[in-house]
Amino acid sequence: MKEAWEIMNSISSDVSYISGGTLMQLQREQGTPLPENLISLEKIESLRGIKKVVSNGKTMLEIGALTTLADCCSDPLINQEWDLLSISAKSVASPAVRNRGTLGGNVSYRIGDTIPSLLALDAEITWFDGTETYKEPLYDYLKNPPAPAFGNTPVITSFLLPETPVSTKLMSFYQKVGRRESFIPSLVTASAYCCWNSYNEIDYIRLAVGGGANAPIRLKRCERFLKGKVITEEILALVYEEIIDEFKPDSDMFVSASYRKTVVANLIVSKLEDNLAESP
Amino acid sequence: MQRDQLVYKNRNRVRPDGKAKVTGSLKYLTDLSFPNMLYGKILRSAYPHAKILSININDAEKLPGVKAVITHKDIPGLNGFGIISPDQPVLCEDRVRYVGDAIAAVAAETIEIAEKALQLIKVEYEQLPILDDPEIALEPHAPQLHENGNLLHQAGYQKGDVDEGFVRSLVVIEETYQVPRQMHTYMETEGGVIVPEANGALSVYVGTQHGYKDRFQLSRILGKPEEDIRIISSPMGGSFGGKDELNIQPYGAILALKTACPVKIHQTRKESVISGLKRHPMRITMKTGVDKDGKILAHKVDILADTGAYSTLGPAILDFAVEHATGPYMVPNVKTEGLSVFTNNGVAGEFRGFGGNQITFALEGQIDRLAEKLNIDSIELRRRNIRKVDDVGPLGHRIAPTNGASDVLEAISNHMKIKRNELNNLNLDKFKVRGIGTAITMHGGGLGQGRLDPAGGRLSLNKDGKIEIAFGFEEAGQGILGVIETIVTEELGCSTDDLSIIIGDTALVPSSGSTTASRGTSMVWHAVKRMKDVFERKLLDQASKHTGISVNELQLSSGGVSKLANDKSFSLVMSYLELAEHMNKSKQSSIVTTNFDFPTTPDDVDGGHFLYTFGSVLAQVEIDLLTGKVKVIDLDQSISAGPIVSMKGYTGQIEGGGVMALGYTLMEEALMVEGKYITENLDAYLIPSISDVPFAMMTEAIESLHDGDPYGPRGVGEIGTVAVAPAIAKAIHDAIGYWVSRLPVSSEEILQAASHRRMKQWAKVEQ
Repeated sequence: MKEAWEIMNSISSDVSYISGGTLMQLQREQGTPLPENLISLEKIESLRGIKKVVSNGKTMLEIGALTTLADCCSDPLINQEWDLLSISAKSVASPAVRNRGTLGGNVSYRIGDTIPSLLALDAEITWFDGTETYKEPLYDYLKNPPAPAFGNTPVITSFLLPETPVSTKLMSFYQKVGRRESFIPSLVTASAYCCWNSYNEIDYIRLAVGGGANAPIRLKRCERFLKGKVITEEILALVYEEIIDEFKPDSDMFVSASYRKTVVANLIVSKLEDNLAESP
Repeated sequence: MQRDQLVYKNRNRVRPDGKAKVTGSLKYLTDLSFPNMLYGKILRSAYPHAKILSININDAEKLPGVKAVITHKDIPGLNGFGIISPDQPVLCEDRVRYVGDAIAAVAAETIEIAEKALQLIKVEYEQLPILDDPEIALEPHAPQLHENGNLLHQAGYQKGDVDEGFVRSLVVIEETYQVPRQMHTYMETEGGVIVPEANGALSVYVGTQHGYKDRFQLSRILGKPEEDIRIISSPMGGSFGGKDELNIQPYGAILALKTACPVKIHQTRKESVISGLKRHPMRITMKTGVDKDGKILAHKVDILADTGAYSTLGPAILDFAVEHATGPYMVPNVKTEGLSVFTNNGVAGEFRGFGGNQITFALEGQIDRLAEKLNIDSIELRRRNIRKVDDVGPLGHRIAPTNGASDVLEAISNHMKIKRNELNNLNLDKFKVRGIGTAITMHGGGLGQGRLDPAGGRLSLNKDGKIEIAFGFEEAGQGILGVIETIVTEELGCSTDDLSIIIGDTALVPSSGSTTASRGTSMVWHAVKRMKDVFERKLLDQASKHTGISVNELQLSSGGVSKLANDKSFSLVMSYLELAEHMNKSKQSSIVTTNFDFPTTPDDVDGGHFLYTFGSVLAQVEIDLLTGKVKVIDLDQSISAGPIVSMKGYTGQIEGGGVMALGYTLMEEALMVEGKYITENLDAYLIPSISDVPFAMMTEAIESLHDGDPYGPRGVGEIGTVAVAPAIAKAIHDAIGYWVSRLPVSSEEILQAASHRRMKQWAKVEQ
């Protein structure tokens, strides 16, 4: 890690880290010239692998940033407890890309398909700035990316997934909508994790959305709105409006902002509707 | 119906080229390498429309590793190409008309050096107003893109009095249909190697759909006799019409001649997108009137086609669309007018279906809308208007008698009943709805009346004792080798081991016209029929002379000439090799050739076809009410095209064509804004993936032909693509009650329509 950092600092310009390289290949095809100097992180074994760790007394799943998306799809631990991540990883590109592409790379992309699922899972991220390793919620990291030290981008080292809340009634989903069924960039993505208490009130909720060139975000206002609520027809109608109001995506050549809003609201509200409280 | 219908017993065989293709061992022309080979790159225009003020190649020429840089000054002959009229400059001199226009080309030791050299070429432009829509190009003060203005071609057909027909109509539907610019998206992009030979001759190893036409066009550009140019054009990794016109050949040829080295050019996908042909985007307005019984009384059609910057086959494609504007229906009053207009968009040209796909989407859309208004089943409405066996063709011209239209309609009607029943018993997710739709079409084969459409072939026993069959056709994935193999072995009685098939090399094959217009299968069958008796007689005469056995007792068979015994068994009396040696010694020629034209209508109707195939499509779709996404669940087709020659080829064409058309309907669009491609690569230009395609597709072949039909099997290269879009559109309407009139279908439009009509609302719909 340190060595990679030093090499990076010894080269003044036109340099980049590279891991799987799938995104850089795509960008090169789209016209971004490949930097003259590439520093491969591939051989740093400590950045690879999936294991349970205890951090601040809490059990968490640590996923090395160089873990391939294919490994995220097939890992039994992820599949058992954090399956939103395996579902989202499986929606990225094609098998060949998933074999090379890494989770760290997908998050570095800022619009990677795994981000909404990581946000819904309350993931934390760790990164290295040349001297120290930092840890913070992924949500904060994406909102305020760390300032580059010495003009260089910090290296993402791992992701930490807390154990998911358990409840007798819970709902979680991840859905990506593209212009075709597979091997396709997202138009709209939504992911959620939601638990109910014994009074049938929502007591835990994460809603994350993205799609297209829109950086994934959490719908915090909607989360606050829903917390403590019992799902009724009226609440569904209100949260539908809230989502449309809070999510502010851009239009592009293929769909409008309005389409993105509507689909996100449809996806989330339809899942909530499945958990409608029984009429009194 | 024909009683003793032709059935080829080996039609289920595996394609001879199948294994090498699926295992990846087959060498395509773009895989070739030669000693001292250089790499070529082509500089395309930076702007869709501009004057060229200057071109400076000095720095590029000085770059180490660069062997030649060419501009318009280096063209020995005509600086133009185009199958109909050569209005596309090989290398532009003073003006560019679209982003694919070539300005210079480089040959260098490596691809990287060639790319770098392109960046060193300095071109000064003066930008001109961009005509990015045919309507803008037709405005009176629009800049003129060509000497004769911006109207490439005008075509029309008139019969009866449409106005009077509309007056008598009970229901009239008028709608404008818009269809996109589709890309062929062959797996192998344009490319190959051009090799200079002794005495100024040239071998061109580049895929094309008509080797002899390329030879003619190159001869004109290079100022060289055609005989000095050899075109090796097979095998190809797909073409679908896209490689019918010249693409990189002229640049490779000029560079090879200038450097005296072989030059390889193989376009990247992005280069292919920018410079390659596309399917014509069209705006089609149709007004159709029916009486109370659903009889169509009047049909008025206006077609506006965006042909891009140059002609290629633009005029012929418009003619085809005009011809097929009434499809398989008998309409007393018709007025069709079509315009094909030059713009600064990508060049539109030949593409599987050839104008039929666009017009059929509109026509079948009209029939379905009329059926809804009249409250008549849409298949029944078709039945009331469909052509009968001896009816004239769509331009009032005589065609080969056929009941194909009714046959495919009834076939799909039966299939519909089964599928509808299945659907009625299906439990679906509450946010999914399904619908079923059908559509039919007729499609002319061959180039049509008044167009040079020669065919031919050569049959011989070569010195190695192989029965050699030679055609000028190319293998582009369509399965022509399997077709040739089946027809020749079964017509002559020999085996595949006795056979040597030669195609796609102008040095070795006779001219047999283009590998286009669904003509290959038909022309192979006709050619073999014409040559077989003479060839058989030649071989058997010689075998008889050699063995002393009477000709009447001899026949061609697997391995050689056999003698028939009284008990009907036969035994080999002479192998083909022995016969070849004997004929060689006695200086007897075995060569038989034939030349003929593709059958056309006897009536003097420009472009009118004579042999038509018919197809009907059933599509079932599932619509996601939360996202507006349309998924095709079933895509089944019934085809009437005469007897099947190669089962795998036939099914492959219909299923493959169906998938290509599914893409056209739901996702494919080479999007251009102000003359520049937005979808520059396959990450934005989408073709269907395996997950977008139905798990199984049905191809039902109706093989019977009309009694006494002498024309044999018809080609099915295009028919499977033609009526898919309207069937899907009808299925969407069946599901959510909304008519789509623009392709590709927009999920956004569907979502909005579905929200308005069916969906339970949580809240107000976003507008």
